[in-house]
Amino acid sequence: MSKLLLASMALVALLGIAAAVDVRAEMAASDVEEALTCQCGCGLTVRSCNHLECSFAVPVRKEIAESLARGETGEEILNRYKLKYGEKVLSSPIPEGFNLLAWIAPYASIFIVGTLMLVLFRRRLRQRELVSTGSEERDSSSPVVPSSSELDQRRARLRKEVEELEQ
Amino acid sequence: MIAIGNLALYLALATSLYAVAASLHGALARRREFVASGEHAAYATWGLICISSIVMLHALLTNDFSIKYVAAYTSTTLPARFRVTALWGGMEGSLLFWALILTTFTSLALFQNRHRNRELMPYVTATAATVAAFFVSLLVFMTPPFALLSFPPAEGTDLNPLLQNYWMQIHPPALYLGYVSWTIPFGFAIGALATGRLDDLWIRTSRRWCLMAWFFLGLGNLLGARWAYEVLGWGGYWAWDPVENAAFMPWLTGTAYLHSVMIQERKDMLKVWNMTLIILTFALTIFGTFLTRSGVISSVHSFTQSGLGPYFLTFLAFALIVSFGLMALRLRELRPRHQLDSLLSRESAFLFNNLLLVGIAFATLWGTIFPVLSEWVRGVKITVGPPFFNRVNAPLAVALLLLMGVGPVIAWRRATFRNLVDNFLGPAALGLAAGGVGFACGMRSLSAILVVSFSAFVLYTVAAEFHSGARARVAMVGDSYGAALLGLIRKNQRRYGGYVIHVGVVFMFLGVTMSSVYRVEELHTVKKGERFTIGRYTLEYQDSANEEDPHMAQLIATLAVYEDGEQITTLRPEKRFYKRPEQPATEVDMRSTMRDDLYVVLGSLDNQGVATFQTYVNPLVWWLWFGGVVLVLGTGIAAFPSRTATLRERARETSAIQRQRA
Repeated sequence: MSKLLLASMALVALLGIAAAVDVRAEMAASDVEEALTCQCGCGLTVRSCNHLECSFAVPVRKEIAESLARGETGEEILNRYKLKYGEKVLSSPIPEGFNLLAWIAPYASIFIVGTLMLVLFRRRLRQRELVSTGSEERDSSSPVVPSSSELDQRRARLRKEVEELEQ
Repeated sequence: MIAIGNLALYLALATSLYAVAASLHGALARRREFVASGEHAAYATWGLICISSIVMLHALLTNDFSIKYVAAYTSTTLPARFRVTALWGGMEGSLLFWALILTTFTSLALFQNRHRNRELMPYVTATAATVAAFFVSLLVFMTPPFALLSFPPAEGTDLNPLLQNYWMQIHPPALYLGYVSWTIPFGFAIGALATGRLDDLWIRTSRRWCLMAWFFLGLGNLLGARWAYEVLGWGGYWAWDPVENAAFMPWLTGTAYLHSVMIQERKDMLKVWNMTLIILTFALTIFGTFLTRSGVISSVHSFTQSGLGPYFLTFLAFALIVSFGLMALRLRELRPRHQLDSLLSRESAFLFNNLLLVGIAFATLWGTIFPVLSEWVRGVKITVGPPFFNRVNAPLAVALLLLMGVGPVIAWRRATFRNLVDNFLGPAALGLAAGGVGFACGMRSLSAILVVSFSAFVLYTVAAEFHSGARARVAMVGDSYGAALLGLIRKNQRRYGGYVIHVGVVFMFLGVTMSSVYRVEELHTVKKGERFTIGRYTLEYQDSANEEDPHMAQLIATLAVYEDGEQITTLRPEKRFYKRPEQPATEVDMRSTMRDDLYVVLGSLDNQGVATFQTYVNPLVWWLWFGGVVLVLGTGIAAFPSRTATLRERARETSAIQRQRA
């Protein structure tokens, strides 16, 4: 089971890498428009800009369609806009250098916390197994009657579990 | 009147500070009279803030332009209902509104617990009064709402046209109710840490507050999405704007808390984690307020920006240091009494649900602040927009959807292979079949197929839970099936209300996924009498009209909509021009059905009658809003006071008192 969960964690890490990888050569016009931020101040992408007569989004959409028709790839178009307006024109960080951190950190943190949870669980399980093995050995030599506080605790737990079952 | 408003604010600052000092002194020195005095001061703060708010509302309704705020956010032509909403349309008013909700909730919590939880209450009072004192001090020293103009204008600047909308009348109050309500459970958590009462007392006492906070925050987000859908005219409803993210993050951590708290109540585990979640959720509400008002990160929600950022950050740091400091002091006592028995159990499913929810919250926070980090580190401005958030969060959200189906039916403590086969064979088969049907119907997007498949899986597990419970009740009690189903829900409203909420969330998942993946959008320029087609709809541009009143001018286009040759409706999208401030706005018109929304925006309309329409067909988006309605219903079921729950609660309290006496 732990192996299965470790494999799930590895899958999480792979998803992180997959999220950062962008197959730009296959981008359609709408993908290129979505990859560019409108500079009119609407805060949306070129594809979503809600100003129908926007001085930025409208000509850029036209230019993207023409460039793709000429045979330019999505990546080439985006590079051209990046050179002209700077990185801020791209609607998501380019996955290189410092920006890689943007893509990797969320999945890395989930992977690390998830793995830590698994490691801690396995360690505690092993400790409990050792304790129960020790008590079994003790039981076989001289039976130990639980103390009254232990009995109380067990009764309380039993009561709680019965309550839960009733719910 | 203005002097009364100002005086009330000054007094509210004094009473809130006194409430903090008296409550803390009363608790530490065990002086009941100081605790009572602190509570009375908190009630007084509420009364004073009410007075101040009434003065402000009166000024807004009577167009008292001698007040700077009134002149900036209203006009004589602004309809009265929007003059009321102008209370939260700007910085000063929204802070006053915040203080009003906070002090009202504090008073309610104090009244509710006037005979109960006396040990915790001084700290609840002190915490809530500290937050109130912070907000009132901003109103007194930084952004006075009753600041006067030397030369009052004859006419006001008016409310931002984007805010002059029905949804804007209810979206901000819902969001504020959600943000502010988290202060009360946070206060109980601080009380538990301060007193060492770290059992589940604080959790049970604040449960309804948590549910209310979670509900209103979720509802506020959904209403905001609806507003964006109807007003912004881009065919979408969620743009991952920093301010949207700010309201989404505490909702996520709050959702994680509502799930993990069940483990503490049942198994006495995850005490540290639950404390951390409630502190983080509260901190994120303050962080959200900081984001909205600081202007540090550019946002389309710039209605209430100011230079208050450093104050919010300082307060945030103070809240985090105090709460995590208290938690560090109690770390030994927060150790769990029980451990996880197996990774294949409901407890661990809840844990992984928490991991994903907090993971999505972190990814959202990270993406929101990354532009600032990039500018600090590299000196380069970058944008982190919707494509980033969609690509990072979508896989996590899909995994969360799957866990929503797993959690309710997997066994507590330790699931066996037999248990898994019994509980999951049916749902898994239905899920696979639903995915297969989707593929056969032409769906090729992996995310869409997964969402359809997992949604069917979740719906089956929820239906099976209701069915097996009702069947057992029929066998035991002899009720009819319908009566058994109702009895089942009444007996455990929290559990079955939660399932109904899950159904609502599934509908929302379906709506969001399908409308994002399969949206069709087209731009058409046509003359009067011409037709164009989008999807299964044909639209005929029939007429245009000009309308004008003192407040705005409207250009209205009339379009007949046909499906299979028959006219099914008429749409009238508008372009508006607000006179004060001079600003254009679009008024979308749409035909909404369970299958899809036909959404039309009027782009331009010239003198020759040529019009441009941006048109969208958004499949299944109706289910997003319907999911919200189901969510409301589920929350109602879970939170509605029931006799069984009250009796159970009383029995628990009595046994706790007996144990203490023993």
